[in-house]
Amino acid sequence: MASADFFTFLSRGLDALGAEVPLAYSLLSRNLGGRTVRITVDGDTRCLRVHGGRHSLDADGIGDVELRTDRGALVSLVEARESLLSAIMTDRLMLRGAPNDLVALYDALTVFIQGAVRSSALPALLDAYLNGTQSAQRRRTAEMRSLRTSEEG
Amino acid sequence: MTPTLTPGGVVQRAIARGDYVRRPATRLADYAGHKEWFHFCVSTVEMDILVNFSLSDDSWSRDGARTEGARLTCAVRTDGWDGDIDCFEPDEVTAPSGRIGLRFGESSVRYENGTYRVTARMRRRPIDVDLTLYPFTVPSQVNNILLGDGPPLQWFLVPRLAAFGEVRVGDQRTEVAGAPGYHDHNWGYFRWGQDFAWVWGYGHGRTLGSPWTIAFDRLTDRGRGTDVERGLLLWKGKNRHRLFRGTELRVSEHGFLRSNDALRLPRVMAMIRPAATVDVPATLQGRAEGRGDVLEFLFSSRHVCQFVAPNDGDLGSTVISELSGDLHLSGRIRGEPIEMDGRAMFEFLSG
Repeated sequence: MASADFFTFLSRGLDALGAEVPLAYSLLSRNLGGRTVRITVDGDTRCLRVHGGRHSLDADGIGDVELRTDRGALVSLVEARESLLSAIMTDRLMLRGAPNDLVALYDALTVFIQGAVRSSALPALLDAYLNGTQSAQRRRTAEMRSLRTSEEG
Repeated sequence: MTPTLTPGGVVQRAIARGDYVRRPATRLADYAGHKEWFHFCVSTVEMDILVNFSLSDDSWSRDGARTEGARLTCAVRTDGWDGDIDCFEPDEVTAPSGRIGLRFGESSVRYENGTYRVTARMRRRPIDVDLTLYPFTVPSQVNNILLGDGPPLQWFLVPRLAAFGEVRVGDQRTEVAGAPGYHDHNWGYFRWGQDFAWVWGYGHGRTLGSPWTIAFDRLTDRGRGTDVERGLLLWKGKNRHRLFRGTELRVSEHGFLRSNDALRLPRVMAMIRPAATVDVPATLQGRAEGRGDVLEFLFSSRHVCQFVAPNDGDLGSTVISELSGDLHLSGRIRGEPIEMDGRAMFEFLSG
């Protein structure tokens, strides 16, 4: 069952990537090069490690690079309402780390997205996270039925 | 007032005989990478509509079973661009080989009584398209388009239709009343990311009364430095009138389109490949000469939306830019002068 929790989405998304697009999973792991990424979304923090064909999200740890954001900013980025650069410049997405580590994180993000568009499972996982507990399809259908009912009435 | 058609007319018979779904149950010598799509465009100064139903072999499938992906791509420009790409599970798809018709979820293409009925109900964006398209030209089919070392691609095109219906984007409803449209259907084998690129386009007059229609194609290597094939086909009324090919045709691109409202789909790709129009020209100019005939066209691009297709063999991608704009056509064919201003759409591939 898909989840509205970011780290559940991330963990299941990496599982899907490993199963469906192993080339992307392997390259993502290589890009991170054993680094720990400390991620905070809506105040909830986990440390991501991808190494040796496995990934983990631990509650504790010190990150080589840190990322802090919220669901609203992620929705904006995925729907292309703002760019990564504008999100960073307006502090909707905060990054901290040495230049080489930030480049490694960006390269890993690039590979994750390239893999996601080739995966059959990831889009649904992302959709469920971005739209909360109600699936996008059900909400969309409900909105349009309501619109047509009001027009016909 | 919608057009009156003769269902048994030559245009309708040619479509009924040529535009059916191929979708082979078995692959040629187990060759992977079969792709097939039905593409519809409508373009006026006030709006652009693109709807594409595609079926493609899943090149990333790992379980050994042949899987096929179904996608509906829809982009609409009214006040600005909106659009999306929806994916469908196998049990949501009906696309029987040998018939003109597809159903993807609530969206569909049908060919009935000599007209196409195109319905697109996007799932994540509030976009609905309901069109009836009346074909006006005898279709053309280009076979054996080689895009790599494998089997070829085929291209069936109906370059001029009149579209009636409506488009809804959110709360905005736009009537479509006789807008000029285009349809093509491609099927065959290739892999995104191979060493090829193409430019193709169509154009016709702004009203149904204008007799001229053109279709253009240019196939090159991926760097667009070496031409493999070029062609410009002219219709007068419903009939094919003149074909120019190869060295009869010279083409040049000028400038870059400066656009602030380009749409790039899927939207998530904009995070790593922000929409950029540096690969698409401000104008495309062509001149064709042969056997005393001359035909020139000038396409001035105005609007663009881009689709990012994941490469089949690597993690790169291919950008497909759809441009709409103004067309000027002039020349002389068999002593008859040609002068026309109209609308056109062109598609450019880039790596």
